[in-house]
Amino acid sequence: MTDGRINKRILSALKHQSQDDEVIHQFLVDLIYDEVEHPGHWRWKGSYTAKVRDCTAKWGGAHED
Amino acid sequence: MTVAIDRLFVDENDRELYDRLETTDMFAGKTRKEQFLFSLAVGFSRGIKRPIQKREGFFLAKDMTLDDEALFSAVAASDADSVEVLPDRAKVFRIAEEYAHAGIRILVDEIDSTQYGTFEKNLEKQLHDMYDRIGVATKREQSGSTPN
Amino acid sequence: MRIEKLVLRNYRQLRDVQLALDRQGPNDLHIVIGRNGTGKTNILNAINWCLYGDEPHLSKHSEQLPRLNLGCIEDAGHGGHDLQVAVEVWVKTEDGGTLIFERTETYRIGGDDKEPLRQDTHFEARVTDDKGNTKILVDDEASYCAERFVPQSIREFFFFDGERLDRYFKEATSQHIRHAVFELSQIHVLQSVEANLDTVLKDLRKDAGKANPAIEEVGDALEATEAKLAELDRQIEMCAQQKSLAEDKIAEYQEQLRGAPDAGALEEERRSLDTRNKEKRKRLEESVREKHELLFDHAIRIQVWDAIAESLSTIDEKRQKNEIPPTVDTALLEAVLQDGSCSVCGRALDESSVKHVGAVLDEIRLTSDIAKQLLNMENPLRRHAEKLGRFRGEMTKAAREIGDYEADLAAMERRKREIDAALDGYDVLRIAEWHKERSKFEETRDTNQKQLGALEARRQILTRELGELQNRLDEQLKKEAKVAELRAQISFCARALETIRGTKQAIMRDTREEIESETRRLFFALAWKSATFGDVRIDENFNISLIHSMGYECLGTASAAERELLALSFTLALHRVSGFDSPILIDTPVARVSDSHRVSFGQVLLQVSAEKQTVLLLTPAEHSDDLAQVVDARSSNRLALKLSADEREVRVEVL
Repeated sequence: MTDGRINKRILSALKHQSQDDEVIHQFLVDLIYDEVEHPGHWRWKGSYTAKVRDCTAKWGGAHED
Repeated sequence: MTVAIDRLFVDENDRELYDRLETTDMFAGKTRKEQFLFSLAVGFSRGIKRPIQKREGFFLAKDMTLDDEALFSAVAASDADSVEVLPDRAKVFRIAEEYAHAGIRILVDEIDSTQYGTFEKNLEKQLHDMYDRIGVATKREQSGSTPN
Repeated sequence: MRIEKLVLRNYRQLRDVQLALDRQGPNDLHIVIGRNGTGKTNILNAINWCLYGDEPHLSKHSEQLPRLNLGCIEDAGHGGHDLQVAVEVWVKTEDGGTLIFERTETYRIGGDDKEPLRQDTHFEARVTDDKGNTKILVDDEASYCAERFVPQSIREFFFFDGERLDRYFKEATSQHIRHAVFELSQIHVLQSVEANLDTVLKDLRKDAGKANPAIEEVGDALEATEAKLAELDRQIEMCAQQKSLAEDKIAEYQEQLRGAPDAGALEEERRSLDTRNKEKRKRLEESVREKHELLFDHAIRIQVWDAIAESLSTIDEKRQKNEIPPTVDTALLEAVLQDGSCSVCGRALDESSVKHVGAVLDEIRLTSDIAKQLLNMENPLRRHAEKLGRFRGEMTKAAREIGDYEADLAAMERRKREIDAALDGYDVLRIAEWHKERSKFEETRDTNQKQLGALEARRQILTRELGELQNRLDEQLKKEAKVAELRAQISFCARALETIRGTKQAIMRDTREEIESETRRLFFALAWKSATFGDVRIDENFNISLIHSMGYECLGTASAAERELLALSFTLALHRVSGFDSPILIDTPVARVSDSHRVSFGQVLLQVSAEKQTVLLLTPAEHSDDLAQVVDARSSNRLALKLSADEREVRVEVL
């Protein structure tokens, strides 16, 4: 049942937990693939920070409190 | 007329018999006076007394209580069939000595003829039988005193 | 994925060996038979060495020897040239491609010193897709490839020796199983994302805090509370584990003590009985002595009663006649005799009068003395009579007391005999030790239970505090216009974190439940005595239990075969649930299984091999006629390892 790299179970659980928030869902999927493709130590901070910034912009008005 | 008596006597051969009483649980730790009283009671209840051949002092008269003396007196009065013997204390004691002299022999024979530990059981049975016999008489005599 | 072929060159006694493991038929079962010393276990070591660079199943003997085959060292002579150890594991992937793992190690043989010197090691993975395109991966990338084939941290669920299988549940802790589930579920990936996102979030809060000290303050407080919560979670986990371990041990001791008497308690009771016995005997002796005292006193009274009664009667009579106390004053008569005259009329007494007065006086004196004696006797005799009246009552009471003591003593003796009978034949010391150990673990369990309660309560408080701090932070962020963008990112990160944490929990829970369900299904499908067992469970703390049909935990007393079956079912469940479709290799799978169960176990392995490549490394003794009858005809390959005469190399024979 593996998707080559990521266990399908993870992907479907993530989809469910995201509760139709596609931005969050995709953001997390991207991060998970990043992690799988970079086992061990890697310079993750830049990648994470950039993604947070970009996705927050997309996530935008609907979630402003 | 009363005569001062300072001790009670047993036959010199009886001392050995009194010593053997120690082997029975019931007599363990009993004084000479107590042993003498018991022997006296045994002799009296069998109606047998014997004169002492060779007198030997056994215990001091001052060790006797009023209760003890009363028993001696009662036995003497019963033996003489008259209370006139009572003032003669020497005679009263002599009677007691003779009953005791007969009684100790009977007592030791009974002890020797029973298995160890059964003397007391047999005695208890005998006493219950005697008590049943004197039961009515006991109640009559106790009239006026506090019964149990 | 399945192993197509193993190629070993100069690897220990396997100098030039190829094991073809291609599937031929409905069962992907492969049997390799070899005596001890022919390299059976070293096949397992070779695979591990190839994929991960270590040899976890080396015997003590092999540890002393170089990895390089001794024969090739011998043949190398004195020349200074290199020799290589090489192991290749050829794997067929699901998409029809091939994956060849190869590890080589070069040794320099030089000079007079025949000790080979290792030069270097090389590991690569050659990936060929279904179109024939090949990519060669080295170092980390090759290792990653190996991890995708069979992750190193859980390789014992794929390549293991049979003895390990038997000991598995004796040694495995819930932590061990949880770890396996973790690895198979790739939870570590989620954990990495969670940890990194958390760091990003903290950094964002710090940045927001720089714009406004109030935000920084709340942010710091939030971070501190999160740290406390993480520590608390760690403590809760540890506590739960300790409790779980203690419960396992308690169950183990319960099983051992089943049917055995509580020796410690019985011994204690016996000692208590001895003490009470002594006291009671003392009281009995005292009562007997008291009874003898009563007997003595009453015996005198009863035997002289007739005399006592007579005297009392005489006293009463004389009292009635007023003779007691005496009424005549003897002193008056004595004075008359002395004076020689009557003190009433004053007349002198003549001789006959003197005689007469003298006789009267004598008579009265006697009566008076008697009366005095009787008076002296009266109270004592009445006391004797009163005491005698209590004879029956006192004797009965004494007899009852003695009877009670004797009955108590008899009861105590009976109880002591019962205790002796109960303990007869048991190793009392060992049972007492087991009871002691069980009590110790019960205490540990209870302590941890209490602690868990306290920790959970604290957790609730901290979670509430966290929520409040979060709200305060959100409010502060709203107030501060400069940090609007940061606030949005913080909010986004927090939501993402929540999602990833929820995902992690859900996967762990679902994976555990699925593994439990699959383990149960497989166990009862494969078990030959399924009616004996009622259930298989894996609880929240990842403790695995085998439940007897009568309801009690019985893993500790299951046979080696049954434990192996459970371990095998669990392993297969892990494979199925995880999606890692890699082969199973078992060294000496039935060595610890009794003859009667071997056939059954063989049938189980046959069933398993219908869906998964299964390679068995058997000794000839294991490959008994019974087992052979079950597995041989349906196996895809049967190979034998034969040791050369000089015992320096092994060749493979196809059976």
